[in-house]
This record gives sequence, C-alpha cells and structure tokens, in this order.
Amino acid sequence: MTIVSAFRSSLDRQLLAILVVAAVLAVAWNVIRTVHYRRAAASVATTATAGDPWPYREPLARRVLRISFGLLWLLDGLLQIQSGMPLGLPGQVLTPAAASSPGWVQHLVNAGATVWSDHPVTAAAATVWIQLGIGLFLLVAPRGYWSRAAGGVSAGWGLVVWMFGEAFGGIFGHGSSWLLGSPGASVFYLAAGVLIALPDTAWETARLGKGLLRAMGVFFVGMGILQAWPGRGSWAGQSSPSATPGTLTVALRQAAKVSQPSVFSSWIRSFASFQAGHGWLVNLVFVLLLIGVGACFLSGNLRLLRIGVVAGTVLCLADWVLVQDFGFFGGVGTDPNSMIPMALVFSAGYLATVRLPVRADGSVPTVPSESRPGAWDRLTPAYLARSLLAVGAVVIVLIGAAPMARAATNPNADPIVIEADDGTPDYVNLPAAPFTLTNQHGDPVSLASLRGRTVVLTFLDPVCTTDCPVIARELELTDQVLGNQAAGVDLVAVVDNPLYTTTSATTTFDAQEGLDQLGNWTYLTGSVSQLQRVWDDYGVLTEVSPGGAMVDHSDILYIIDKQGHTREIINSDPAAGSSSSMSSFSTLLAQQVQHYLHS
Amino acid sequence: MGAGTLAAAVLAACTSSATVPAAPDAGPAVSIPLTSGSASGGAGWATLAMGHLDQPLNTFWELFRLSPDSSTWQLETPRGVASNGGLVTSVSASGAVLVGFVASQFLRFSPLALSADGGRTWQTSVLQWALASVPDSLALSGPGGALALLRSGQAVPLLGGTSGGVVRASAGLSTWSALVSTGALAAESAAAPCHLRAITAVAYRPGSSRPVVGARCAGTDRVGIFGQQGGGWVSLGPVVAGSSGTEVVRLDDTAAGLSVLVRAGSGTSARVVALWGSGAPGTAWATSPALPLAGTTLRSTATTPTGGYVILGSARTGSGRRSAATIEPTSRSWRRLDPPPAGTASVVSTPSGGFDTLDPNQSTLLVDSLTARGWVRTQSLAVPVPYGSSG
Repeated sequence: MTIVSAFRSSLDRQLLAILVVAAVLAVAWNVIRTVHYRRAAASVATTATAGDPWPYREPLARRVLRISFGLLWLLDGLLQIQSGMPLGLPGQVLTPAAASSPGWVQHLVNAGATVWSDHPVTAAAATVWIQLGIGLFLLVAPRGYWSRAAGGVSAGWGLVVWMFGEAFGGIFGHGSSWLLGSPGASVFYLAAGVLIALPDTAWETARLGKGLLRAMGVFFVGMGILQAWPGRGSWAGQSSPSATPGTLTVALRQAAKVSQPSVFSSWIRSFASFQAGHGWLVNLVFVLLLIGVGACFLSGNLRLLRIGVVAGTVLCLADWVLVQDFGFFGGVGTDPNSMIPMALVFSAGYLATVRLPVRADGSVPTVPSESRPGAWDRLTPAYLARSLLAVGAVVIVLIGAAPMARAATNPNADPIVIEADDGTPDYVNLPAAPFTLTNQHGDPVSLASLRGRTVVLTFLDPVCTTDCPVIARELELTDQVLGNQAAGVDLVAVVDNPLYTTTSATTTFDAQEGLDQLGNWTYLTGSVSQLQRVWDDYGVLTEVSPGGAMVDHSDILYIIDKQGHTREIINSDPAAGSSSSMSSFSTLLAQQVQHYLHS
Repeated sequence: MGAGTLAAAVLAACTSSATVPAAPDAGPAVSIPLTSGSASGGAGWATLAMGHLDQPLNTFWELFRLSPDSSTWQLETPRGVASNGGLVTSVSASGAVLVGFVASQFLRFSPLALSADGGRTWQTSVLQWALASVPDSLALSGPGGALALLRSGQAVPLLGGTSGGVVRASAGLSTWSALVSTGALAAESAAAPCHLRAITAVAYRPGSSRPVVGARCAGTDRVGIFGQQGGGWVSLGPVVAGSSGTEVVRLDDTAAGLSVLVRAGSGTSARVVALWGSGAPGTAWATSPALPLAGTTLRSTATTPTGGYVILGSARTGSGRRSAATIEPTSRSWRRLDPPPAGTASVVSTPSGGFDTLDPNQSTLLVDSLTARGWVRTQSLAVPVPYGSSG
C-alpha cells in the first residue's frame, strides 16, 4: 500500500466519521427543534421574547475577517488534500522554508518535519481536517463565545503553521523580502484569529481599527526599508547572462517553472524578463509604494487611510499574481501565500475605523445581560442550527488534532514509511532450515537450541559500510520498542561475507554498533562452506566483486516462531536509512514479532 | 607556483648547497597525500583513487602491483570491503604486503588484508579502530608483526583516550596492544622540543622489531622522529634549519635504511627534505637539500628501490600542471623529471628504477613510462570500478 493511497483511505475513513457526527447532530437538531416548538405552542410569551439577543449586527470589519479567513482556511484544507502532501511537505516545503534561518529555527522546524516524516499519513490527514474544521467553525459561528473560540482556534493553528510550516516566515533568515512572502501568510491568520477572538466591546470604537492600521503602517514602512537595504540583492536584475541574478530574478524564474496554467506562467515569464532588465527600477517602485502605503496608514487621516487601503490592495494583488504566482501551484502549495491575508487584515483595520457598529436606537451598544432570554428560549431554529454546526466544526478539528497530538508524542515512525519502500512482509508457515554455527563468543549455536523463543534472523556483512550498520541499528531500536518483551526474542545475524568470517570481525562489528550490550544478540559465523549452506537455505545471494566493492548481498530478514517455523520474510533494505525509515522499520518489525510472541 | 616554478626550484635545489633558507613561518598543518607508492620487496606498489572523484561514494581506491618480471601494472585491490575511504599499504622486505582500508561511511574500524604472495591470496583480519588516513599508517615487520597508526577523535580504551596513537600486533594480526598514544608521546620529555601535534607515520627500525614514529612538530625546526628505547621514547630527528614547523610525510624501512620525507615550513616557504639514517639513537642523518614547494600542492609520494623518493606536485592555482622530482640516497640531490602528463595522480618508481605516471581516468588507468623521449604511454588498464555499489 503506498503512502498516497493510505492517505486517501485515511481521509475516507475520517470523512465517514464526520458524516456520522453530522447525522447525529442533524437528529439532535430535529429533536430540540421539536421540543422547542411544543414549548412555544404552550407559551406564546416565550416565543415573543425569543430571537437574536445581540443589540447590533456583527461589526462589518469582524464579519469580513471571519468569513474571509474562514474561506481561506477551507481553501488551505482543500489544498492539503493534494497527493504530494504526505511525502512532499517536509522536503519541499518545511525544510526549504528554514534553509536560511538560524540554527534554533532550523532545529524547531526539523522537529516538526520529523513528526511529519515519521507519521506522514496521520499528519497530512490531520492537517486537512484541522484546517477544514477551523474554516467551517469561523463561517458558522458569527457571534458569541463560539465565534470567539473559533478565532482563538484559528490563531492557535496559525501560530503552529507559522512556526513549524513557515519557519516564522523567514524573518530570522537572510534575504527575507515582503515581495517573496515575508513575514509569512500564517502570521496574518494568527492576527485575524486574535482579532476575531476579541470581545465585542473591542469593536465598538475606532481605536482597534486605528491601532491595527498604525501597526500595519509600521510594518509596511519597515518592509520598504528592508527592500531598499543595499547588499541584499533587491536592486539587481540580471544585466547579462554571466551576471549574478538578483534575489527577485531568481525567485521569478523558479516561479515560472512551477507547474501551472500556461497563461499564468507566461505572465510570470514576461514580468521576470522585464525585471531582469530593469531590476533597479522595479525595486524602486516597490520600495516607494511600500513606504507610501505605510505612511498613509500611519497618518490617521481618513482620506489617506482610504488611499492607503486601495493602493495597498492593488500592490498586494499585483505581487500575488506577478511574484507569488498565487502561491498554491506546484503540487505542494499549502496556501495562497501572504498577500491576500495581509490585504484582508489591513482592510479590516480600515473598516473597523470607519464602519462602527450602530444600534437601532443609537444608544451605547452593550449587551444587557438582564434582558437576555433564558437559554432554552434562545434556541431559535437559526441559533440552534449555528450552535450544532459549530459543534460539528469542533468535532472536525478534533478528528484531525487528536491523531496529530498522538503522533507528535510517538517517537516511533509508522510502519507505512518503510513499507512504502520495501513492501509488506511475506507471510509463510514453513519449517526453518536448521543450522549450527559459531557465535561471537566462539560457542556453537544451532537453530534448534533457540526453539521456544521467537527468532529474528538476518544476514550481515561485518565490514559493510552502508546497509548492515543501519540494519544493526534498526534491530537495536526494535529491541527498545519491544521493551520487556525482548526477553522472549533472539536477534540473530549470520555473517554475509565469505572473506571476513572470523569472530574477531563479528565482535568488532558488535562493538561498533553497541550490539555487545544486547543480551539477546547473537552474531553467527563459520567456515565458508557452512555459511554458504545457510545462505543457500535462506535464499541469500552473496557476491564478491573486484575493484573495491563491498560484498553484495540480500537484505532479508526472517521471523521464526517458537516452534521453529518461518512465519514472515521481510525485505530489510534500509532504503534511505533516514531516522524515519529506520524507526519505521523497527516499529514494523516489533509489531510483527509481538504477534508471534503472543501466538 | 606552476610546474615551471617547481622545475626552477628543483633546478635551483639541484645546483645549490644543502643550506635550507631561513624563513620563519607557522601556518596550519597541510594534509599528507594518501596517494602513494613503494618499490619494496622486489615489486612496485601503488594506491590511488579512481572512478568519479567528485563523488565520494563513486570514488574507489585501488591497489596496483608491478611485478619485477613484467612491464604492466595489475589490479590487486583486496576484495570484500568498500574502498571509498582509502587504502594504506605496507610492504616488507620479503615482499609481503599489508593493506588497510581507511574507514568510510558507517564503518568505524579498518579491515586488513595480508598477502605473502604478491596479491594472489589474502588473509583477512580487522583492526578494531580506524586507521589514520596517511600513507604510512601501517608498518609490517619481517616476522609478521605490525604497527597501526590510529586516527584521532575516536575512543580507543587501549590508548586511554581519543588523541589517536599507535597500536601493535604480533604475527597473525589478531591481537593488538597499545604502543603509545599521541597524548602520551607528546608528554614525553623527548618530545618537548618538538611541540608534537600529531603522529603522522609509523615504521620499524631497519633490521629490528623496534618501532619508530614520525610526527608533526609545531613552531620548531626539529624533525619529529621518535624511537622506543627501554620503557620510554627518544628523539631521533635532526634539525632542518630555519623551519618553523615540520611534518614527517613518509617514514619507510628501505634498502637505504630508514628513509624519511619531511615537509618543513608552510605556505610560500614550504619545502621538502629527505633524510636517511639507521634510526638508532645517537646516529647521524644524511640530509638532502631542501626542495621548495611554494605554490605547489604535494599530490603523491613514492619510494624508490634504493630508498629514495619521487614526488608529484601540482600548482594550486592556474592550470594545475603537474611537476615531479626524485632523489636518491646516493646522490642526495633532487632531480627534476619531465613534466608528467595532465591528469597524472601519482608518479611511482618501478622495480627496475624507472618511473611511471599513473592517471586514473575514471575506469581506466593510464600508465606512461619515462623514456629518453619523455613520457610514453605504455599501458591502458581497464579497472572494474564498482560504481553505485556503496550507496
């Protein structure tokens, strides 16, 4: 089973669970509504007081943020369904994002990437549901605690993505540029979530909007200065083919190569060509616009604010299309990049400044608690529907978050990682071929003498430079995963090199890999004829080649049960030999061995 | 300095007195080329890297042998171990050859292979630690014992630390015991004038089973050669006047006794000096003139049948053209050889006293022999370089 098909299966199973939850919520909605109607029929007065408890409509700025970021999260969730995500995200998105960042950022991002690499199916599916759930949560909960909670969840996940997925948007790295997406899209998701989570009172005056625009003003001016800073490659195009291209030139050429509709790539190529020839001019325009927009936001003057919002929006859209290439093409695009969320945030700031909420009677817009109807009476069909939908959205988030949290705390990689490379074990039930060889201490050991214990049998070259030391470490890891159960297991290797067969070679290999510390480890050797017989019996191909080649041999592993029957044959090629694939192999082997320990 | 400069330097050295120009310096230690050869035991031996040299996993070190009754080199790389890390050889006077594999990738110890019949059959064993990657990190004695110089940075309980050092084995190469650690030798009073930084070569004193080690000395003109005497060590090395740092590049038991190739100084004032002696305490050394190396990187070293050396250098900048020089203990003056062909990785001496260049052209070893008409192509040997076999 490939990782991609496992990813699809996982999504299907989780979708089924979500549909079940949706059905339960639908039934609950019907039941509560029926009860409500019966009560309403019995008491006319109650019906008269029921209705929207809020004295004014949701502030426009908040509504814009909530709906637009809800839709953005939905889009991001859908983008996470791309088949390239389970395997491609760590290597193509996470690690490159941190490449120019300092060591502590890379360490942090690598920790996240390791969790993803160890549990690619769980992590990819979890991200889909978390983002779809947050998007739905924001859309269905317009007011009250549910809505503010949705903002909080959005901010929290935005922070996680900003840290682990975007390496803080590259703000700690070299060459960060507003044009190329710094300080990251997720920081605006984070900001929007925090704004949505604010209490209603925060939206009742222009202070919030003005403060937000001032912050955006400082940000734009800062980005403009950074863009103008000499020595960062911002001013360069590429005047001749032999000249070193500027930062933007390189980025545009890479963007043009991304798989996308031809019309978009032609736009990018045209702009790239123009920028290469007029790098200085293009950067000057961007610098002036950034500082100009920032100055408008800082002015506090309503007319200038309006100009700033319009100019900023145009600037963001232009950069989004011509530089960021919409952000989501190429198979592992996770979001539409920074420009759209950024424009939404400063637009919301403007709306929060000029479009304050107004009550119908013109009084101070507060929510008088004493006038609020009882909880049961507030259960209008619309309110009920929204609440149940919010519960449903939270369930979707949890369907993603719970396995993700469990995966993040599990140090052992999922078996699917190695099965994707090596295939699944072959299940058999045949008497294992007998042998008697010499262990690392010089004592004879036969397979028959191991009867009553589960045996993991493999073949290792003691002077191998690549696979065998990796397999040895995997066996050690397996021993750790088995814990106390390892006492019922013998890890046995047979020398797989006809030229280095001495116990000195096996004990040196054991010492190198720390296998001499394992009480259940046995490394067997013998004469070449004895070894050849065992290799033949177990289908191990061993080939000695000239020219400085190591001995070529099969990477194969047998699980032999307590009765001396071979039960599984596993391809033990360590593939990439990464920490994920090694851990995955050990988890797989431990799981398989546990099955025979209990049978 | 290009080939011409080295040639000029060689010529100058050939015609000048043995006086070493005083030029104080204290640059960083320069690596000793592992590419090497020897003309001992009646045969010629050479080790060099082949394959795709820009790809470590597709670079394979090969061992070649030129038997005395043949004019063509044969591949003799012992089988069974990946040779990506390098090969070290030691040839005894009787013709036995001990080969050590420099540890690479996940292998952290050095497999060994010993042949007493010119490479037809090999007896294998393992050294429990990693050999140092220098041409004389193994020494094979007549009775079959051996010395091994261990890389620093690895834990060697036998030597009590991670500073590296020398271990020795009796015949059979199955049991190794401590000879001396780098730290312990540096702490010896005999090593105090040397300011010893590293052990760089091991050998047996000619005609005996007494070990001798060569070293890198810092900030001094004393050559770091030490011999074991009683329970301690004595300094055997002479002074190379005007040097601020010396390094033993080769240390060999040869027909001339104990032959030593020393690099003195560094940077633009680096030069090589050859020494010959018995290795016995209190005995004198015959010293060659200095061969200036400024601007040239030492590419390979090889011994000659009479106990001399032949070295190959290449310009660090520009064309990287090769230049070669040789010295014999009898004449004790450097002699310039014709500029070797482009691509030459090693210049070695043949059992008959001639010179061959070895050019590892991916999977083909090109051999040129020095004749009265200059270098003439004499062999093109296809080598089964096992690309892709090391990962």
